[in-house]
Parts: sequence; C-alpha cells; structure tokens
Amino acid sequence: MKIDVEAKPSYGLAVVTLDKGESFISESGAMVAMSSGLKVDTKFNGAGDGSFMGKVKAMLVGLARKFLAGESLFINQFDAESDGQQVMIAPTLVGDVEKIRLKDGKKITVQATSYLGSGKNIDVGLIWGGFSMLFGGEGAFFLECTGKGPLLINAYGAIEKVEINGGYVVDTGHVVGWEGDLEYKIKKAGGWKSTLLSGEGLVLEFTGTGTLWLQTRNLGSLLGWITPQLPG
Amino acid sequence: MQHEIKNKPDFASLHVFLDKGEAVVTESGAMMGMSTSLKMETNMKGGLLGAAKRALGGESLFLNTYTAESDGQRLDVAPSTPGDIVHLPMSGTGGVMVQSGSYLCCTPGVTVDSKWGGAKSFFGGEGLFMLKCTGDGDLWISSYGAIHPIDVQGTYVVDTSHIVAFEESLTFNVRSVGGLKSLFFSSEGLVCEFTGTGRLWIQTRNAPALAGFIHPFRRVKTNN
Amino acid sequence: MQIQVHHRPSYALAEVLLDDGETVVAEGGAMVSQDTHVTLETSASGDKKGGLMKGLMKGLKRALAGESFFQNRFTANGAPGHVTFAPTFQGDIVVHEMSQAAVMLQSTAYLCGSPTIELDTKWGGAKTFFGGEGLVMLKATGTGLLAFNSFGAIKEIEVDGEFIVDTGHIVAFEEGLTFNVTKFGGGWKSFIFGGEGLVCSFSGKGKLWIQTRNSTAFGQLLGSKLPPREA
Repeated sequence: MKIDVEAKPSYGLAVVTLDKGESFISESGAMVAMSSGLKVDTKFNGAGDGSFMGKVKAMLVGLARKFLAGESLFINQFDAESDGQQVMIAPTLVGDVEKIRLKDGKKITVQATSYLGSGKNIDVGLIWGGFSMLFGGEGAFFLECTGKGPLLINAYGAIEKVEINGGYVVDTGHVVGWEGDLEYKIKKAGGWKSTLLSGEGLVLEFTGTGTLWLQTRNLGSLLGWITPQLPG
Repeated sequence: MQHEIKNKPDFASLHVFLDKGEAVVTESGAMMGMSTSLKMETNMKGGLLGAAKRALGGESLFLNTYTAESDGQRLDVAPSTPGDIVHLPMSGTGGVMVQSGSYLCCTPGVTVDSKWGGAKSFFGGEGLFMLKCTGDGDLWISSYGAIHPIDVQGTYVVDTSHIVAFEESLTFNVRSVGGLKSLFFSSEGLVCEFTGTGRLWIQTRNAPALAGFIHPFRRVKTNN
Repeated sequence: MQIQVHHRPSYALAEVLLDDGETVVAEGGAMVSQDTHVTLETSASGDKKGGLMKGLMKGLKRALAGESFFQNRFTANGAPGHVTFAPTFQGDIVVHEMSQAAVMLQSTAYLCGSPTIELDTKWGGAKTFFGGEGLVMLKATGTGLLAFNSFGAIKEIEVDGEFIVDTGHIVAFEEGLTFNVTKFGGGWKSFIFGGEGLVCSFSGKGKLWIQTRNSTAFGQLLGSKLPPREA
C-alpha cells in the first residue's frame, strides 16, 4: 500500500494505491475518485466484532461518535481486487491532510473530527476528554489510535508539528492531536481580565516530551469573522 | 527577535521567537500556541477612545501584548481568516494604510490608528475602515486569499473588496468601473483608482463573495 | 495573450497579459485589478453578430447554468496591458489550451478565455449529475486559452479505460470521454450510507479534471453552524 498526500496544506488529498488483497478504511463521504477494481463495503463506525452484541455495541459507539463528536456514523472499506487500484480521499473541510505511520506500542490521540482514514490494522477507540474540555470550545471527544499501519488525519487549516520538550501552551481550538509522554491541564489564558477579553479563553498547558499537531486556523474564528458579513 | 511565516498563502501561520524583554502586540484571539515564559497582558490600546475607534474599524477592542520573561520564547500566531500573512518592516518614514480586518500583529514601536477622513467612502458602505500604521518596527498583515503585491507607477485600478494595504505615498479615488451599463450588469461594482508611486497589496479573494456563497446553505428561521 | 496563474492551488489568481488591441472575455464580477488603459465592455454574448435577441438568449442560457448573465470583454487600448481575475470560491485555476477536443465544464467553473472560444449551455439530460451538483454543464469549443476554476485543488487525470469520480468533485472533462452515473459501491447499502450518493464512471481516453473538495458539502457543513437566516 502506498499513500501520497497531494495539495498540502490547503486542500489535502490522500491518494491511496492498493495491491490485490489490500484494504483501506475511510470516513463515509470522503471518496473523491477511485479505480474501478475496488470493492466497497459500508459499515457502522465502531470497532465491533462480527457477533450480534458486537454489532449492537458498534451501533451505540457509532451513534455516540455521530452526535457528540461530529464523526460520521459509517465508514467505507475499500478492498482491491487487483494490483495498482487507487482511491483518492479528501475531507469536507478545507485544509490539510497528514499521514502518520503507527507502530506497535505507539498511541496517538486526535480530535474526533480529525479522523479521515486508516489501514485495517489500526484500532480506533473513543475517549471522553472530561467536562472542562467542553468549555475550551472544542468537542470533548477524542479518538485514541493504536496498532500498526497508516493513519490519515485532517484539520481546518495547515497542520503544524510542534516537538515539545518541557512545556507548551496551546489555544484549545487549534489542537489536532498529540502523541508521547505528555500530560495536559486546562488553564485560563491569563488573569481573569485576559480570559474574558483577550479572545483566547481557555488554553491547554502541555508538559512532558512528545509531538503535538496543531491546525493553523480554527472553525470558530472563521464563523465569527463571516457572520457579521452575512445578509439577514 | 526573529520570525518565520509558514504555510503561505493558504493557512499562513506566523512564528515569532523572542528574547527576554522583547514583546509583540497581536489582535485578540490570534494566539495559537506559546512557550510558558511569555507573559500575556490584555489592554485597550491607546486608551478608551482609541479602542472604540478601532472597534468601528473592524478590529476588536482589545489587543494582547506578549512579553518574554526569559530568552528563547516562542509565540505562534494565526489570523481568523483563511489566507496569507505578509511582513512589512516599518522604518519610521512613510506609513502604510491597512484594511481594518487585515491587521494581525506588530512590535510595540508601531502605532495603529483608525483613520477616519475619507476612509468611509472607500468601501461604499461595506462597513470596513482603513487603519494607518506608522512608526519603527515590524508589522504583519493577513488576508482572505493570497496576498499579491503590485508596484504602482502612474495609475492602477483595483476592485475595492480586494484591497489589503497600500503605502501612504499613493493617492486614491473610488469610482464605478465602466459606464452606467457596466455598473449594473458587469457585477464589478466599485473600484479604486490609485495614483502615484508606491506599493499596493491585494488579496485574491473577497469576503462578500464567500458570505454570498454560504448564505443559501444556512437554516431558514422559523417564526413561532 | 498570455495567462499566468499565481498562488495555486488555494487562492489562485489569473493574470492576463494583453497586447495592444487584444481582448479577453471573462465572467462578470471576476476582475480584481487592471491597468487603467484596459477598457471594459459588457455584452450578453461572446460575439457581436446575431443581434440583440440571440445575445440575450445566450445570456439567459448561461445564467441558468450558474454563470452570470453577462460576460465582460476587457481590451487593452493604446498599449499592452494586464488584468487579473479571481473566482468567487477559494480554489485553483487551470489554463487549458483548446485546439481540437471540446471541453465540458461544471456550471460554475468558467473564469475567462480568448474571445475565439464559444461557450454553450449543454443540457446534460436528466440522467446526469443531479443531487444538488448542478444540472448543467457548459460546453467550450474553439481554439485559444480557456481558464477554469474549482473549489479545492485541481488534479488532472489522463483517463485510459475506466475511472470513477464523486459527482461533486468533477470540474471538467474532454468530450472524448463517455460517462455514466451510477450508485456508489454498486449496492443499496453503500449508496444510502456510504456518504457518496451518485458517482460518475468515465470511460474512454481523454483528460479529466477533478477538484479535491466539494463546494456543496462544504457549504452545508458551514451553513449548519451559522445563525439561521430569513426565508
């Protein structure tokens, strides 16, 4: 399997090339174009097994993801029936797409709305970030990804990688994901006056060592900017 | 102080590296991330009147000043509009007029003033104003779209919703683009004719067009 | 005439360089900036022949295709001149040299071009591209330069055989390709739940231009988060 990401960082497009027998999973609605030798199967977005209870659990998890986190209820699995089959995948939002290679023992945590696609051997689990995260203005759901293979994430804006060694403070609206030995705390941006008036609100303070992925725009600011310009 | 602009022109981000005592001033809400030894202070810059003038200029009332309390501090800045960032070094001679929504960040030696005279006619009621930036230091401007610089020598015409900034040495005149028929049918609307010698920065997209595109997708109000 | 494209793929700007006396035709509202000695003339059709009624009919057909009613003709007078154009959306611009094959364009993709290019509204027929993507394709014939725009980045694909594209991502294609609209995934489950709806299967040999984002889906995503509007 080969994955090339084109048109970074504004309209990232992942071009996935599969050989016979290989598979790729993506969010529903993300397919832009594909070769004719790919079989498509649509499933509920939950890592359930094939049993009845597994399917029920998958459905509940899928529903939780949809209504609380904005992820789609369904995923598409593309299976190649011959060599050199291509599927091109893109998110709905304008912005970057990044490919991350997961290895055994590595765990990546991403914003629930940032999941775009992954290889078959990646496990994606839903975690609840806690109530304080909700007040940070972003969704409080995160996805924990483990396993072996490729993971595709998307963002509104360009994705910037920041290596943390010590401490770093981030505006919650700009966090895409992180990995490594990192702890985080929700804090006020400055004193009370700053928190209310600075436009920054709450921030996340990371400590430890690891990698942080940021997006260089946030949807809330875009909406705030365009709303006064809309006709009644 | 050093800076780097990345991800141009699509979702440009500004990264500033500060040593102890150095400071930058940004529009509120623009901080993306920062090192822990940066002190942030929120102020109504220029006193109450200055802040009010600036609010009507399309900028928020408040500016944030980030001061480094030790060496090697990092501040990552991002505008709210999808688009570009350009750095304008200010040397104390000659000012730059900046469209109100395009001010991003500057060093404390640069003064940002809402200029009223003639500014309203600029955008024919689009509700935007021009800010006059003067002083010594660094100024960063942002846009909706990519920023395309044009060196004017003589005269040049620009659609008003595409103007980001221009040097004070240029004089301007707002008019309609063609004859009456063109005004009604060409969809071009108002244009600004610049005269003189100086640099002009235009943006390759305009906000009213985006607002017009999104508008039909909004949910319709229901009356109870 | 030369057309240079800057700032691809996100906020592309088409810079047209005209010789003295040369004209470029553009979609209404697309002009960003121009030299002062470039004059503007607005007409309902691409050529002066045919009289007012024919011109109006063409303008109307184009309006229904999603393009604006009138086209603007920019001519350099007395010296070479330049005009810059940008489309409404964020996105890319591609300049294609037309010679033999006609090009079918998505209704909102036309930006500007040589006056020797004829634009016609082709009614694709009920079986094509419904579902909010736009019923109409514009057909461009003639020789010269044609600049078209997209929402997202434009990717050129040389089709040789068969290739499937989500209908909302089609920008343009050469007339030599035949197309067939089908359900995604071939079965009902994928069609309803797979998020794609209808897709278009192209076969034959020719150029196809796709865009890496879908403006309708993006508009719906943003629109749902904005305050509601008056009816």
